[in-house]
Amino acid sequence: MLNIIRYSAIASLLFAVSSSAFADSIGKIKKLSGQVSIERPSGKVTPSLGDAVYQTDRIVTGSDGYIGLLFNDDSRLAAGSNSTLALDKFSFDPVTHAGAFDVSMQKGTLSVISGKLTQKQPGALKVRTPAAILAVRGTEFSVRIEDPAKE
Amino acid sequence: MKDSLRIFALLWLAISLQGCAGYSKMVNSFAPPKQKSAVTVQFEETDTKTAGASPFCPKPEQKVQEIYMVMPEDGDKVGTVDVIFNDGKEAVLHGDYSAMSLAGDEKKSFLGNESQLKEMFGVAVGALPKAPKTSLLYFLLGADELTPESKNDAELIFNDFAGRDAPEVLIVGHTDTAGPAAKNQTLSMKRAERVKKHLIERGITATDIQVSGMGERHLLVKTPDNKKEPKNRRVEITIR
Repeated sequence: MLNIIRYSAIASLLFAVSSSAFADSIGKIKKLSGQVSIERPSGKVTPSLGDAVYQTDRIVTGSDGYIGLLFNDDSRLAAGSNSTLALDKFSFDPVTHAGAFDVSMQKGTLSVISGKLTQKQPGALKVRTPAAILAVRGTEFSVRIEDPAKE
Repeated sequence: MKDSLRIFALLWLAISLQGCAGYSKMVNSFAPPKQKSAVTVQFEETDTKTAGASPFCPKPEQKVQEIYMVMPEDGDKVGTVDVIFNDGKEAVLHGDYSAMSLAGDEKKSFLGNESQLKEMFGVAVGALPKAPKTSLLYFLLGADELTPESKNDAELIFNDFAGRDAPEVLIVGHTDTAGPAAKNQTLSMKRAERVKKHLIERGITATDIQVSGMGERHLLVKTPDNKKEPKNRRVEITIR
């Protein structure tokens, strides 16, 4: 009997840990090919299809890489090859759909289809480039930033 | 012939008097009227230097650093993006293929097309995930058995799932207000679990499926308590 109680305590602890980790996840990787890495405070990781992404993740694709992401508000972002994309800020209230989504792009190509955040509040999704800030009122657009180091 | 020469001469004079900016404006005014939503770019602060390039006033070629383009939308939706440049200038991209390029401090608006979109952004556009899809399945009164129509709809949902990468399923069960709330809570969960079982039988991994039950708390059709309502006896399935 004591064992059962102990196991259920462990199980509920595990559940609490996994559900808090889930709460931090802001989206999932739905398309992935070639060389792609994600830089986090804890270090650099090589992601797999289906993995979660988190606020402040910095995604770097190589010359043959691309990545497609689906976020919790149904926003979709995809980066082509030789791209650097940072997920600076993501907040989304699943009930009211209020929140904000800021990403920044250093180089490469990015395609965006905005989701519930911009439906609720046009401009809630912002893409910062070296030269400008793009506020998305709705819904689909692409950005290309040439690599200054490339000739 | 003589007349057209005269017109040309006047035009030339107009260009000389107005300089390159005037030329650009004229060229812009010659542009054919655009259809429907293709209003493209409006500068809130007019910047004549960037309005267009004249063959009479060559400018040093600046390397293009950034390009933005609105992608074509489904149905009658029109895409809009506000651009705020670091130098404080603002622009609005509005409508399918409405686009802008930036070279140095020169900002140029243009109307792109399908092949340009593909050439400039093809890989990224192709990597966009499928849109999530929510469907409703309905149940027989007081049971976790699907209505015959919903059994057919279930097939379509399963097929959609199979066409996705790293798919996830969220199943939320609901009931109508007939019967006690506590019993309905259990029934809503049973309905969600029943659909989950269907999905697993078709080879979907259990860990990709999340189920929950809302009981009679989220009615699709608002009713008083103890009211049979077929539209409320449902399961919402979101595939993402």
